[in-house]
Amino acid sequence: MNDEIITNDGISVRGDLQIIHKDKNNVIISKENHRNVVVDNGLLYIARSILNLENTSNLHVFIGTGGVVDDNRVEARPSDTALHTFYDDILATTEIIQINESGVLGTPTYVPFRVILRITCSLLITSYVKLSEAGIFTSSFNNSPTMITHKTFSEREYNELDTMEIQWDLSLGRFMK
Amino acid sequence: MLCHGNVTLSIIDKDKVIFTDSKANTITNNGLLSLFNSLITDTPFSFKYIQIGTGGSLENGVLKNVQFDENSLYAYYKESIATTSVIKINNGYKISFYSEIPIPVDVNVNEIGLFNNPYTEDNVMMFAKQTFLGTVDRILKREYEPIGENIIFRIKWEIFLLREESGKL
Repeated sequence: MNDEIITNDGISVRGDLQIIHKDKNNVIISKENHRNVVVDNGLLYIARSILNLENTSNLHVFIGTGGVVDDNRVEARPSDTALHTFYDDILATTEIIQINESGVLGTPTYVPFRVILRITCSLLITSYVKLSEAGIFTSSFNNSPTMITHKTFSEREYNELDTMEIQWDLSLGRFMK
Repeated sequence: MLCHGNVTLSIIDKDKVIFTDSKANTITNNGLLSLFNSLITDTPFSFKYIQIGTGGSLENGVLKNVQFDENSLYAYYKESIATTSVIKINNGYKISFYSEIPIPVDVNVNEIGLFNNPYTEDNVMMFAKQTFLGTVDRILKREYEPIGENIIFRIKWEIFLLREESGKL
């Protein structure tokens, strides 16, 4: 289940997750792209944040091992509030990218506009593990954070000293292509 | 996030509602920026300030089209702090803002905006805005005779963050 919300103002939101798996010699083993699910609690958190009803802090990316059970992928759902099986917690780096795209669409004239919240992080694997899910959270694991997005994917086998690099783009825009 | 909004405006004279209308608003570029900035900023937003103004129409009475890159009203008149709430609805959440502002019967209020700070402060950002047929014009059109010198301008503003019917976000 991918997520894209389209509004009657032409405003939509979507999340794009890129995961790069590198071995201990920094050689890329795989690169995959996914669309995430923004969960219900994530929507609520955003709604409350613009009213200053939440204490915002540094975003964290959690990764887990519960995205595949008995060789079947367990879909992320809007009602999810946690990873299926937590493995590790990474403090993410965030930046806001504002794009005033060229061109116009339709009549009257609409100028496309896009804001990207880019969340990046990297995890050094310390022992063999099969990873199959990730999520964006509002704080660290020990602080009972709120999950904003969730994504499960096919299991990837990571060996000791491999690296998982994540770039997660939440895009909010008008007339996005 | 199906991020759109509606404003419902009413004119009330001595407890009698003499006019009510709803319009879709325009969410500005700064409004879109704020949705994400609110997740990571050290300086929290609080979009609860509603400004009303008198510059929403041209001299010939035609309403101005709100542009996405605007960040203020055309002619500020007054502001109030809205009562706010976040309500779960079928496929997402609704953020509600409510305010009642007394205005003289002869002031033609025809624009409205939702802001993060009071009018007099720095770093004011406008989340959404709309123009509409003015309060004086409405009263005249209804051929209504106000009882007193002031009326109540009631604002119900709703911003929706929704998932598509299919369950997608």
